[in-house]
Amino acid sequence: MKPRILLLEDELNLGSTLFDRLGIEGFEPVWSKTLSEARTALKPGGFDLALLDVNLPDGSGFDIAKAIRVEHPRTAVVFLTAAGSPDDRVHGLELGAEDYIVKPFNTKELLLRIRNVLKRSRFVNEGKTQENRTRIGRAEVSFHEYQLEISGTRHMLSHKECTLLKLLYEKRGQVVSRDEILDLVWSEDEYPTPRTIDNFILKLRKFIEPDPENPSVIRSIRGVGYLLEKET
Amino acid sequence: MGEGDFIKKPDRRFKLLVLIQGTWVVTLLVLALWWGTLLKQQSDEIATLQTQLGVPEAQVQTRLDKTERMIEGESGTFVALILITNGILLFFFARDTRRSRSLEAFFASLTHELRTPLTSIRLQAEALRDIEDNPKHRPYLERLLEDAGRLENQVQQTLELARIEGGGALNSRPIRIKSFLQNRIIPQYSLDESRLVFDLSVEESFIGADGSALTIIFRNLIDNALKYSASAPTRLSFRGKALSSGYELQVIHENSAFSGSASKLGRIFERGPNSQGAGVGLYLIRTLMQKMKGQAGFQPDHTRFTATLKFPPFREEGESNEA
Repeated sequence: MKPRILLLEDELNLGSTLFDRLGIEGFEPVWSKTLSEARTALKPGGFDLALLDVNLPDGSGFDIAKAIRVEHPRTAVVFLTAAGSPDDRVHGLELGAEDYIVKPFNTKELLLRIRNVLKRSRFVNEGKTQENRTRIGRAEVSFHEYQLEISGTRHMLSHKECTLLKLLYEKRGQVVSRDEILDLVWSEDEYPTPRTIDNFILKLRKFIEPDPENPSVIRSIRGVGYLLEKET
Repeated sequence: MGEGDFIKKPDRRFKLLVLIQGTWVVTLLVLALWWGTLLKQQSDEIATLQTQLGVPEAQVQTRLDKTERMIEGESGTFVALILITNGILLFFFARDTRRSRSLEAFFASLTHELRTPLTSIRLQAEALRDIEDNPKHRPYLERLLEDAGRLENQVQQTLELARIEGGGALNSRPIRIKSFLQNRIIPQYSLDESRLVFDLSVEESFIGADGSALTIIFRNLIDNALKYSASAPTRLSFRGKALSSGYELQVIHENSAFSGSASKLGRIFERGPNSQGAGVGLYLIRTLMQKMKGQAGFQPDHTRFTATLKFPPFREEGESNEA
């Protein structure tokens, strides 16, 4: 099945070029020129990825990104915008975007980034755990909904957090090396440091560990990587 | 914050000038008041002495009145001159600052608006190149893409310069330098080997840098090399190594036609019109490197142009003590 992409771009020439190109490259694009068109297109759901411009005639792409994160957690968000200041980028990524691409960009770069994001989504959505809730530590995790529940309270997971947790869960009882984590969770053109991975692990521990100060579910294996205990 | 928003920020230079001017004016006013009071006291004492020496009182009083009027008049003129001069200075400075900021905002807005049509031109040219079967048409498309890339770089440079000069900060983060060059920079140049050859001998290491700034720096160096090549293909070597003092990266352009003398090298760092058009690019490289707490050095000679970029030692906040 072709990956479905919602393209939100108000500029006609760029929008139609992107729409045609995405179609040629094996995706199923749906093109919206305004926020309201995008909201209507999103209603039935089923998009794998949303490519969002920020400055639109009837509002900001940042607003619809928030709605997608809550209402369509399986849809990964990538911003495609001329607003490229450091503050804009940070804001976009804080909203849970998987990537933030600043115009001008080239086709090769765009397709590489789209495929990286879709690779992570596929990994999270495939396999036996797709439909079930899985208990990890003190949390009930629903990978396909990108969320977990702790004592009746739901928490959304970003696509990267979900991919990392799924990787550890799929290999529970085995040590997952840092390189393995980097290869799957981060793209070739992203530059995480050991500290970046630690921060993600720290956040996951806050959710799933009974005592995050003394982790017993996700253990650090010094110099190698991380291990999710088999019996949690 | 959008690129154009820097215009809303208070101008630190203007605030500083007002502070310095304010201190200067207050100091001069206090001194003028003190000198005035002192002179008046001296005049009174002279008048008392003259009276004691037997000068007629009416004559002494007339002289004293004259002296006091003179002191008041001259002090008043002095104070008024100080205030007027400072007022004029502040007025012109504020006017120039406003004009300069409007100009910066105009360029920021213009370049921002140019980004979308530029992307559209590039993507359409790339689509044409990818479906074009006629080999006679390909050189035109390659040239179109090359020029679109050059234009993108100019737009990006102008925007970054306007942003930085408007007080914008860089967002330094850890970047793996070799991967960055391989994945972000080199793929932007789709020229074949008869036009451009890269030789990468770079030790992989983290550096603390702003990704956009780094892209501008490398694109500038590569575009300059393409522009000043004495013969085709343009050969660019990247040599990078981690040092205890940080990370040093040399970008060497062999067969460079840019064989400027030391004095010429000095001038290319200045912003402004330049017959070869190299001023803004190298000025921006130096400014961006300084903003990232690094240094940029350039060594041109008859056959090669070497740019040396020195990045400070990379330290991650709260070093990882995990796995």
